[in-house]
Amino acid sequence: MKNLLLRAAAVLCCAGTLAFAAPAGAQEPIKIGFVGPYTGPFAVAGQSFRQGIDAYRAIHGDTAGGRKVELIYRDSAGADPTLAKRLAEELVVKDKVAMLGGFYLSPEVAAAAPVANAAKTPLFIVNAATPALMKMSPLFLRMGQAINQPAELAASYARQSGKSKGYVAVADYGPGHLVEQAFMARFAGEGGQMVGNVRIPLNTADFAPFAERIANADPDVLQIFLPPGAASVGFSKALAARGLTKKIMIIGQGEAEDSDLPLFDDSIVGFKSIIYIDANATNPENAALSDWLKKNAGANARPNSFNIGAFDAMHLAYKMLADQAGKPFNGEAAVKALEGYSFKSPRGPVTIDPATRELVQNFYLREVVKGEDGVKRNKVIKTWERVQPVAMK
Amino acid sequence: MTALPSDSILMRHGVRRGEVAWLLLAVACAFVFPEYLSVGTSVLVMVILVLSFDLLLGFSGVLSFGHAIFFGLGAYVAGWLSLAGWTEPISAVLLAGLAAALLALVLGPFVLRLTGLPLLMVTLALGVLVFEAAHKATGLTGGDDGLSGIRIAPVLGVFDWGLGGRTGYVYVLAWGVLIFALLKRVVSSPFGVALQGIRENPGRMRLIGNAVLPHLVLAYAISAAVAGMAGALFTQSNAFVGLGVFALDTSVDVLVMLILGGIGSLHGALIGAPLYMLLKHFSSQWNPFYWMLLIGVLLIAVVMFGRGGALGIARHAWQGLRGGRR
Amino acid sequence: MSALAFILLYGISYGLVLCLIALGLVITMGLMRIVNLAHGAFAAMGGYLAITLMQQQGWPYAPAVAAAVVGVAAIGVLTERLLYVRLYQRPELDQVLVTIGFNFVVIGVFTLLFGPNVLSITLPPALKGNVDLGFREFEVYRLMTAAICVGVIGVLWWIFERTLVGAKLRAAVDNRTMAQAMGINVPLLLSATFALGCALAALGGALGAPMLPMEPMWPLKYLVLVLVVVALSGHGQVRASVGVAMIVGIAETAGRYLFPQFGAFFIYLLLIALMVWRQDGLFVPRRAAGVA
Repeated sequence: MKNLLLRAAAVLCCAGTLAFAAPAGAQEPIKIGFVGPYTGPFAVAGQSFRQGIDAYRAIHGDTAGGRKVELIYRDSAGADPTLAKRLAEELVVKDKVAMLGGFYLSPEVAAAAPVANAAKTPLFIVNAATPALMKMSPLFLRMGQAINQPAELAASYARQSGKSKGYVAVADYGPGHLVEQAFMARFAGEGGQMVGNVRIPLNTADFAPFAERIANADPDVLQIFLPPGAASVGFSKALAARGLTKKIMIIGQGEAEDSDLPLFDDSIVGFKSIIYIDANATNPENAALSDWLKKNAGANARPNSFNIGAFDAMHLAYKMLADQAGKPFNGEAAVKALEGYSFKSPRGPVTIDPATRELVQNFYLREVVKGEDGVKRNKVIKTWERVQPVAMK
Repeated sequence: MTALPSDSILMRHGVRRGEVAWLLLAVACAFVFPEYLSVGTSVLVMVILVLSFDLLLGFSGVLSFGHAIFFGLGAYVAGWLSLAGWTEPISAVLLAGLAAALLALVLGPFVLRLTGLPLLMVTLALGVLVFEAAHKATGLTGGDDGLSGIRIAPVLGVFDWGLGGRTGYVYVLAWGVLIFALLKRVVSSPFGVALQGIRENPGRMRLIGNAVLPHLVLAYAISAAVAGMAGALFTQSNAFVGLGVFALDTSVDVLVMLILGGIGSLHGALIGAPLYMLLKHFSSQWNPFYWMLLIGVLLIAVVMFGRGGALGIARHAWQGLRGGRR
Repeated sequence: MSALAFILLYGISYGLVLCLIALGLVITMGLMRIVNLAHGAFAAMGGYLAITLMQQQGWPYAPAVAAAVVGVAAIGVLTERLLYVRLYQRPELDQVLVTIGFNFVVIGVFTLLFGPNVLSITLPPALKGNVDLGFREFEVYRLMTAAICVGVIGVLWWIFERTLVGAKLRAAVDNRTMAQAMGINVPLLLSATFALGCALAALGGALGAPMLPMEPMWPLKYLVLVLVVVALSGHGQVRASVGVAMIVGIAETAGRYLFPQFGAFFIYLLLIALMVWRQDGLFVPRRAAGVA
């Protein structure tokens, strides 16, 4: 009798624990791993990732689909793609994250692709812009752009503005080469004549020889592509010293974002750039982000490609979780379900292109102007709406 | 007959207790820290690389700032073999080592004529040149994007490379044990003794009839072969190889790891590489600007106050505990 | 023709700044026989100190540069007495390691104080802009820098060749024990020389800041270039180092202008070839073959 009672009690206990365990599993917090350069030469970008994420969570809370969302940050210091891969692997194996995000440099994304594929985790590429990346995993979603898009738009714009002698100067690394190819192909394809091109080694300190070459080729439009920061400032100075900033149209991409403009002197006024964000946009999403940044990240913090990209990545993550509320999270299904999804980003209205998993978004042509308060800013002078990303070859 | 002092060359034959302890510790780590296996694998790869550098600097006295050339060559050879369809890992490692050794045999006769500052500068310049060339040759190296899509066949046809890295860890550890045993044989052979003689006094070595340059070139080749094998293991355990393998940072890191561990005994590599990587891992949690500061201070301290590195400090402490040398 | 003018003008102005920095190292290495890889750290200190004085304390350009030079010379003397004095008798490997370690420490301190990014220097309005040389324009700043370098080098030459102090220095470089035996106070001379070397480095760093922007990694980034000049000059050969610095400056500028894709390729190839061919320096007669 006692034996039977004891065994019944044991069974009841087990049943009881199981009954509690099942719903407890569904309420477990969901973790997202964000690998980025939080220290080192690209620390500004990494910190911007965090700003975007923190802003989103401040505005929209930290639960989605009934589950609490936890962020785990790992520092890649922007130095070594194999480190990024190791960090991704640790996040998946040890911390059991359901999604990955960040990865500043294209090689880091490439190195992490096998991890995402093996663990079937969606990976949000915030800004890495090499077109070939999207082929490496069906779980990648790109929040930024493919690097050839703004270069092609620049070439068309230059031709439409009557420029016929083109020169392209890029930093000598992967993204730079792609910009060079894209610009030259489009400019020549639309009837322009390329008078020269130059690739500037990444560790260049003195840009005078390059400015000299450009001046000697006598172009009327110059497409540049350089990493933001010291290189862009140095090159701009060299161009100004050679008198080029007054003579020719110079178009770039992210070299002179609003957050960097204080580093330049007034020779940057008139510099044009094409990029998919407008820091001064007045739509409600951008206003909310901008306000949060001013209050929490310093008076000079502005929306940029990194914090907007991370902000949108969080939006998509929350959407994935909301769609799968109550079920265990399935990464592959989540990515599939988002194809064709449209939403409002701080940069404007965007849609996820089903063919490429990149964003169909607006591109803005900006020009640096100096206001009456003496402050320089990027002013939008033309918008290309809903530009379709290039299909994968 | 008097007992031999423990650091005598003739005592280098045979297995020492410390080495067995290290091996057991490495195996234990695989079980105690299963989520850190990929970090552990990269530490082991570094141990092998530092071992190769100890042969060059510690035993032969050649201060080279370009050791990354051989590491990088081995890494890319393994990558090329895989992308060309040759996915068998063990033979790839051997081929990578061979390629690096061949390069060393070509460069050695020119470079090793120099000593001191000129040697330092030429090896530095060579290292930077190779890096720039690799950066340019995007067709071969993938440029900044590196080589991805590397697949490695299961080790011995049986052990698959999965997420989590257990196969990688055991595989690299096995290579490490093999290479360590081989290098021990090399340094305790007459050839190894001759190298140490050259390190101490090249002039006298010539006078007693030992040609210096051929010895150094052979040591350079062996060191390069091991570095190349470490490179191949790097590629295989990461399934990726990028330009960082040729970077000057790699050459300098190897030097620092060796000095921290203790130069000239092969055991320094066993201590220095894990110590450095562990320090790096933990210091990345605090303010990273302290990292350079820390390494600089350690380097100065180790050289000024204790040339033996961590090993030397441990040895002094051990002898102090035992009441002086016997 | 205009290409040649560009290469010569820019190459020489660049070479002169390099020369200033390298001269400091040639003198210290020649006299102290120590492999001092941390020389770039003192040059960077000069640049950073000058910028800090200008930006944070609001000093004008000239006094800031002058103060930076004096400041770094003082730091140099301190470092020599505390650190370098222990390295004189040590093997070369130790010297290399300690000076690299010192580099790392200085880089760490720079990052702590100034952040990891490049710090720009704002030139005074008088130095901005271009001057018209007739056949082309040239930056005022480069012209001024070149003039100052030439002046300093001239003064140095005069000190070495025409004064007693210079003679003592040259004697100590050639044969230290003999010089000491003749009653020359060598330790004092060593400290004073190190201070001079650091002062030259600091001046080069401060003057060169617009051309070679200040960042924490500066000491390592330009180390090779400076060492190239020193190694090709030979021990303590002041005249040779001026010539070598000009060649390096012009070669680098020409390389970047004519073959921009290749970056530093040519200068390193040149270095390797020259070092293997003429170990002791470009203008020094070859040693007899044989035992070191």
